[in-house]
Amino acid sequence: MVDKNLPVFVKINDYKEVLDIVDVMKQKLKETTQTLDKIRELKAEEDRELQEWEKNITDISRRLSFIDSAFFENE
Amino acid sequence: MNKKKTTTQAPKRDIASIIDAVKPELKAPIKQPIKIPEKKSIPAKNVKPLPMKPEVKTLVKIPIKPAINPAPVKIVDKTVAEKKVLPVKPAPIVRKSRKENNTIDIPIEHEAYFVYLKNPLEYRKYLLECSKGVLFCLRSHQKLLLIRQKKLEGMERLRTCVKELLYTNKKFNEKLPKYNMTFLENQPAKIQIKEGTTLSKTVQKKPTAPILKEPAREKTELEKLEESLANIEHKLRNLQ
Repeated sequence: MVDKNLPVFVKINDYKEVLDIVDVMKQKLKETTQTLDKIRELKAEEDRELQEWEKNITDISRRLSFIDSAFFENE
Repeated sequence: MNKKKTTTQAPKRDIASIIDAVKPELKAPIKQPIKIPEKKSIPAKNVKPLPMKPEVKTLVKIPIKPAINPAPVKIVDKTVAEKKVLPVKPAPIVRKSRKENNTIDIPIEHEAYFVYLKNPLEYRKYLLECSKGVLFCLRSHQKLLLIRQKKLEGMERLRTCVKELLYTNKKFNEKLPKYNMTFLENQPAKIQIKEGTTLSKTVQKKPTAPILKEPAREKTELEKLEESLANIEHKLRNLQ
């Protein structure tokens, strides 16, 4: 059987490149996290706007129903 | 209740609604039929103009029903303005007071049904608030459009970031030493054959119809991603 826990050796030339790549990956991950946070904030804002919209619509509907009943109650 | 209303004919109107309906020139408190004099033109010399019979507008007298909260009615006395324009003084019109007569003159062409609303200010207020609400909704809609646009931009940025991460990850894997997965997979499994048992006879394969290969179609992005995901999961399972 082959031992899966064998040590890994990386060439010294490649090692520096690997470190650079890891740095880039870290930076990209940070950027991704920030973008995700921003999207989450925008989603919350969107939800708030939708709630406000719903509230306005309910208010308009209530007022209109009152006016309707006042104007056309004898019909 | 404020909803109380009365559907009546013209005789039961209130002052504000009637005056709104009446023409502006008839807003003056005229109690008698108006005699509209003909415009005086300058007569030619030695020619006497024939006396014209002035037109008399037919008016209907409607008794005024005093409103509960009558709105203040501003009646402009146009006779003053007329005096400035016309050099000839019109014949003095004898007018009775409103209280004395309790009627208002409106022309016949304005004969129509009106609905009396007890609290018009309240209804106006409600309608204005409704309009305000609709405008708020429109504003919310515009805000939502902007937010969605920003969100789409953010998602596009996120997609780019993820793609770049995938690329760097691939590069990272390239730099690491390779290991032969096929070698690990093709390790001969130890087959334990019990004593006294014989290997089953080889089953003759029946000839099958040749399978027609479908023309290769391009993989979608989702299929590619699923494939790479399955590949990684397979590798992980092997490592465990």
